[in-house]
Formats: sequence, C-alpha cells, structure tokens
Amino acid sequence: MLSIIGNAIIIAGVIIIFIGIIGIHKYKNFYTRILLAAKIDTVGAITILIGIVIKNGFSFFSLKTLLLLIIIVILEPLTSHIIARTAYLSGYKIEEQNLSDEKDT
Amino acid sequence: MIQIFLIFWLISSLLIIIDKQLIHLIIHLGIFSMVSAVCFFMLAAPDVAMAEAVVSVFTTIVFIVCFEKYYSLVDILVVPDKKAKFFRHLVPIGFTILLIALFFMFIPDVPASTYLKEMYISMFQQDIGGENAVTAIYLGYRVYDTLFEALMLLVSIAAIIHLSWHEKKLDIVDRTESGIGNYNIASATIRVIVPLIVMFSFYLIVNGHISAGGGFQGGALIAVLFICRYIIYHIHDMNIDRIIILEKLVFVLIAIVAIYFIFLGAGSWLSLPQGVYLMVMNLLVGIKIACGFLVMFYRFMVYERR
Amino acid sequence: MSNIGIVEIFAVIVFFISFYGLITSKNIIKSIASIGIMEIAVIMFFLGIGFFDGMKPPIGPNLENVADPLPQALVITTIIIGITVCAVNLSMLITLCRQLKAADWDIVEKKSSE
Repeated sequence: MLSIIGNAIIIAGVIIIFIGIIGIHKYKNFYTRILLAAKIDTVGAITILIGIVIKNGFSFFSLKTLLLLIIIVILEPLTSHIIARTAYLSGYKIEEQNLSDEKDT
Repeated sequence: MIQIFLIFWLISSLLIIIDKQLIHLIIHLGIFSMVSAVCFFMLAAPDVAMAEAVVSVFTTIVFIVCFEKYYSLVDILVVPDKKAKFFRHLVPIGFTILLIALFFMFIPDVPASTYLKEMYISMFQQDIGGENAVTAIYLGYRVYDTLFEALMLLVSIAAIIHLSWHEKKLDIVDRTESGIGNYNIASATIRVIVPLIVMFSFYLIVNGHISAGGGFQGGALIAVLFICRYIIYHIHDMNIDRIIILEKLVFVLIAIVAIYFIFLGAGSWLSLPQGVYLMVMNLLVGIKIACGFLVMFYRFMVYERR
Repeated sequence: MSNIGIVEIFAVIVFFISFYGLITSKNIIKSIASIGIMEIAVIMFFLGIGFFDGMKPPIGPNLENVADPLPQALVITTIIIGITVCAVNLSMLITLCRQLKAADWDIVEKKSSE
C-alpha cells in the first residue's frame, strides 16, 4: 500500500517538473522563467523526495532523505532569489516590449 | 540506463563547443560537470563522482571571475561573417572524423588485464586496512601518486600566485555592488547551512577508509566553507602567506607519514595501526587540498577581480 | 570490437569533439574549456575499462563482482589536478588581457608580433 502511494507521489512530482519545463520554453521574459525554474527546483524536488520517503517507510535511508529535504527547502528558494536579485541590480529591467510579446504567445 | 546519461553527456559537450555566445559557457560547463558526475556514479565509482561534483563549484567560480575581467578589459570586435563558412568548417570536421575512424581501426581488441584488480581486491584488507579499496590504493599501494599530486598542487598554487595581480594595499571589505554583500537574507540562510557543511565534510574525511569519500572530497568541501564565510561577512582578511606556509608544512607531514608507514611496514612494533594510518593520511590530504583551493579562491576573488 | 564497451566509444567521441573545439575555437577561453572536457573524456574512458554491466562499487566487506578500483584511484588525483591546471591557464589569460586587451587567437598573434 505504501509503495503505491509513494509511486503516485513520485509520478506527480515528475508531472510538475514536466509542466515547469514546458513553461520555461514557452515564456521569453527572464523573471517569468526564474519563477518557473524555482517551481521545478522546489516543488518538484520536494514532491519526489517525499514520495521516496513514503515508499521506503521507516529506515536509515529515509532519515538521510529527510535531511536532504531540509537542505533543499532552505537552499533552493535562496538560489532563485539571489539570481533574480542580482539580475535586477545589474540592470536587467522588465520592458514593455517583453510583456506584450508574452500576451501574443 | 547508462546509455541515456551518456547521450546527455555527449549533447552537453556538443553544446559547449557549438554555442556562439561565449557567456553561456559557464552554464554549459555546469551542466556538463553534473551529467558527468551522474555517469561516474553509474559506472560504480562514487568517489570520483563526489570529487567531480565538489570540484565543479570551483570551476564555476574561476570561470565567472575570468569572464568578468574579460568583458571589462577586452574591447570586443564584431567581426562580419565570412562567405566561405562551409569549407572552413568542413576540413576540421573531416579531420576529426578521420581521427575517430583511425582510433577505432587501430585500437587493440584484447580484454583488459584484471591481474592487478584481483590482487588488490583480495589483499588490501590485510595489507592496508579499511573497507574502501579506492582509498587503500591511493593511500597505500600507490602513495607516490598522491605525494606527487600534492606536490603538483603546491606548484600550481605557486604559479597562480606568481602570475596574478600584485598590489600590497588591499581593502579588506569588498564593496562591489553586484555581489551579495550587506544583504541579510542570504547571510542569515547560509548561517543555518554552515554547520551542516562542517559536519558533512568532517564525516567524509574521517569515514574515508570505510565508506565512499576521503581526503580529496572532504578537503574541497572545507574550502567551500570559507566561500560561505566570504558570502556571509563579505570580507577577505585571511592571511594568504600563513595559509601557504601551512600547506607546505602539511605536505612535508604527508611525506613523513607515508615514508614512515612504508619503511616500517604494517607488522613491525613501531608501526601505526592500519585504520589510524588511513585516517591520519586522509586528514592531512584534506587539509592540504583545503589550503590549496582556499588560496586559489582568494587569489581569484580578491586579487584578480579588481 | 567485441571488447570495447559503449562507455569507451562515447568517451572517444567526446574526446575528439573537444579536439575539434580546440582546433577551431577563435577564443582562448573556449580552448581552455575544451581542454577541461578532454580531460573528463579521458577519465570516462579509464572508468569504462574496468566496468561491466551489473558491477558494484569496490566498497564494503562483501567484495564480489565489483568494478576495477585501480583506474578510480588514479583518476581522483587527475580531477583535482584538472581544476588547478584550468585555474593557472585562466590566470595567465587574465594577465594577457591586461597587457594586450585581447583574448582572440588572431588578434593576440597580431599584437604580440608587433
């Protein structure tokens, strides 16, 4: 029973990553792409790791995976945030043209 | 399973070569390092995969600093495209394909010799000790390789110091706007992470002879710690001369411990116990690698960047 | 060709791809990156020699059907050397940029001969 639930959650994570990749290729604006890449990094990875923990049940392996999960929860939003902030500070502004391009696609 | 990752590996190496935009090189090198680390893990070599994954951090930093200087120093000329583009590419591609064909034509078709493998695997637990065959080989049977590798690291660090920009007066606090400095979210979050990195790097070094890991990987991770320190406080007040002296000292210590162990052998009354030897050597190699990488990082971050 | 596995074939192809990049690149930075790729291809070739399907890492008390530990031990030092070689090359390149204000092979040759 546990393995079926775990597999279902892992498949859900893979679907989330797939949708994120489609989004990255759909939009051309940099900040929108950052948002979608952060979705892949955080939501996709967390979902897959939770699926692995549920599939394995109580074991030493699950404990290590949980530690990895904590590190990912702390670090992954930080990296996306730093990339967006440095892009803003170094002068990359959202232009009107980019926004109008997005409405067309 | 390995075939899929090998195809990814081939594509990522092609991306590095083909892409015309030079700045994309950093991202493509990162992808290439990650895919090759996964391939090494698939080839039953977790030690090598770990070393590659840690080292790619430094590759990225070094290339970023180099690109920063490149775009600020060099006035880039826009050269118009020449007409005879096809023929210009045809000759190198043909030459490369010819070389691949020649290689596969003349490679000797004999199975690889497994004599040394059988010997090492059956003997290392009583000769050297520990449970990791890779660590036992590079710290026991082939310790000269490790010694000369350490010497090579020392020489290349000396070359970097010799080549890079010399100026005595240094501002200790880095005030560049493009960096992360003076910025609370990053520093507060990295403060939470740093204890985990310390724990993991010392775990890798101390457990190097039992499980995957060892001095090389753990030492590079300790150097990553000091990068975190640079990001948190945004200062570089490390005394580089002292780090170099420590590195030379540790190199001499590595040589002394290795020669002591080799000449006295494992069985005599003066010799070190086996696990202790491997642990001490891993610790020394880790300190050596950490010092070398730290000097490299500070040289590039502080001296080359201005 | 029966004794050459798929890993070796891919490694040789990537080695010659990086060779192509080395002989055709106009920029010095790209040449340095090509040298890095070449090194990882050689590492992959070495690891592929000692590996067959279903092998385990050579770690642990139970050592049956494990991969060859000798190329792995030789290769770990190579990776550490590779990054330092890359760093030495790049610091030489930065010094060159400071002096000649150029990083393309053609322009560097033209300026250094003057």
